[in-house]
Amino acid sequence: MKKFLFSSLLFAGLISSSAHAQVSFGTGDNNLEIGGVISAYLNYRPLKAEETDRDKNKNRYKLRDARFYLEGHNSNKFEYKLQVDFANIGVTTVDPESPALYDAWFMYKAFKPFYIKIGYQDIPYSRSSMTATTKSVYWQRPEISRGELFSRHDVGITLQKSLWNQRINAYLGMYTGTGELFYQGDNDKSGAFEYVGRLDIAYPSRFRYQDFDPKNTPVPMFAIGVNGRYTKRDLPAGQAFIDGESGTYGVKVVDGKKLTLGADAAFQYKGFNLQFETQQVKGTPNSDKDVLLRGLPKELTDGYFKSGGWYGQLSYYVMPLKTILSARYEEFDINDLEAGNSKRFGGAIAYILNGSRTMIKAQYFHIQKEDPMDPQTWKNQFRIGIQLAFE
Amino acid sequence: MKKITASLSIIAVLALGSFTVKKLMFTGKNDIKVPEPSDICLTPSGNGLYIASDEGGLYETDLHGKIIRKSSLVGTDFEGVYSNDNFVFVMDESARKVYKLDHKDLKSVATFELPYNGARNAGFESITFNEKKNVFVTVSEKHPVTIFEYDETFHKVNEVKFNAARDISSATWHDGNIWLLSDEDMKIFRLDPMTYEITEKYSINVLNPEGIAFDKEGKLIICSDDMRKLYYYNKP
Repeated sequence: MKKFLFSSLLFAGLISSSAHAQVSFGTGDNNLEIGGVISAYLNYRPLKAEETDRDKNKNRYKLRDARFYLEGHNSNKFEYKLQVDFANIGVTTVDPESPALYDAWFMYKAFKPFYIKIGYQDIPYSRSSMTATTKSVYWQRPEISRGELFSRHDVGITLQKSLWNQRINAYLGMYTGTGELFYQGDNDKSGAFEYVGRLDIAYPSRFRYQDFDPKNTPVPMFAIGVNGRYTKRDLPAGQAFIDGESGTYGVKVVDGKKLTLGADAAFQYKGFNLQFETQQVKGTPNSDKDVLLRGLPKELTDGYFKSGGWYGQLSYYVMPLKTILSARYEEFDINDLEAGNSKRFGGAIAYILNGSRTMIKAQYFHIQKEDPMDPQTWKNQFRIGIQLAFE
Repeated sequence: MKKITASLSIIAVLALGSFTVKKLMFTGKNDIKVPEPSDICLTPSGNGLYIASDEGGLYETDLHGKIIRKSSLVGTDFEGVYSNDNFVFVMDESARKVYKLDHKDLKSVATFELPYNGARNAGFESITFNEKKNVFVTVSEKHPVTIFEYDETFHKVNEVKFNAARDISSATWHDGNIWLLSDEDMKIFRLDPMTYEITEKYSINVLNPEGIAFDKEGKLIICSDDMRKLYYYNKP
């Protein structure tokens, strides 16, 4: 641990003076940028005393990002982006927070009423999910937005409109619903789509998707957002979803109807940044015997289950020290038909080395209460590492 | 205990170091209709402003920001504007171009290319003229902030690193000095025009300040992109 910290600080010191943004090449109206993100951390996860499986891999060194991207612009008419994460190519389980493919899309901007974005892209849903990890103090998002309750990326089409100097942003989209697993090449056997809509409003100016305040904003700023997504999937008899499509908690896709509603709010002023978000899923499986209904009679379930939770996060940027301090509390209920939910408390500290993209970040996790459906082998967890973003 | 005291002393010095800047006296503000205003400069008469827009447009307004006319020139991402008695010069950041426009009809009479391989959106956000050295000056926004000098045909003749700010969003010439504006640090730097060393620092409480200019009386005008406002300050 000490060796890692020492090497990290030495490495960070060496690169801090030389790490710059990405490079670009231009020919008049055409411009192509090359950029990327490299990040790695040490993950220290002491096992519970009663844990019999002494898995040494619980303490790991993780290469989180080895991303490379090409982003092109043609005047103000269109943009495209291809972003691949080499750290996650070939992994057997897709982490929706860091999939192997981040972007493969094209956006047409010359149509006045709205921008049209087509391809594999970030889904405009949930402020926390839309906030890039390079613009966050934390290594990991809250449970409700890290891609296990709903997908964060997918193939589809998004219509996007900004008004009032980008204070109002509206999004409408239609996607495959298979999320991060789509890049394997096909939809699932239901062939259904997922429909997503989001509206956010900020005042007195646009509010960027960032969970700390690097400018020590001189005026109080607010933003609120509401979003919803809906899909109805009917798997043919004897067919199953793609391996891993349902996510760690089994609620990411439902053979039946899935309605997800969420709201978020953000505030920042003089270095303080406050984030709040809630998400609620209502899943109505086609079959009364679906495992998501936990074997309970229909009189008790009315044929549906709920899943969701909320989180709140407060950060403060100490500008003279280039340091961000943050605390987060979250609650998450995987399935309301099973008693119990999880409660977590955590914090993070980040030291900014070069701009707000190159940071040493440390995050602490503490599980106050476990959801019986998601037993963990650890109660406390610590991550410390470096993020270099050439973007 | 000694170690703790020493550490606290270092922290205190670091903290206090950032407050050795002067404050300016705020006198008023005005809303402007120009979309995404990204830089300003005084018109030759001194009775109005040229305002560049992120959307690739150039506007002439009165000193209160009321639009008088708009150039027919359509660019990609105008981020800097400078005007002398004869012409207006507009910086297109992502296209890496400077347009030279006639005051009379605001039509382009020449275009210059300024190659720069930094990030598309962290290129030149400013343009002004150093009257002491008789060169045009542009400044790359960040990663890194570099001051570039160009001759009258925009051939690069010199460059100087500037490490005192996280970014630079605008530059202007006034009173025999170069003045730089930092958006992220919300600071103004007065520089020696020969060495580009800082001779004075000022702080402002403006969100997303993107443009700086001085009126005929030497009073300071700051333009905010996010707030779409002009802010007025007494003479520094």
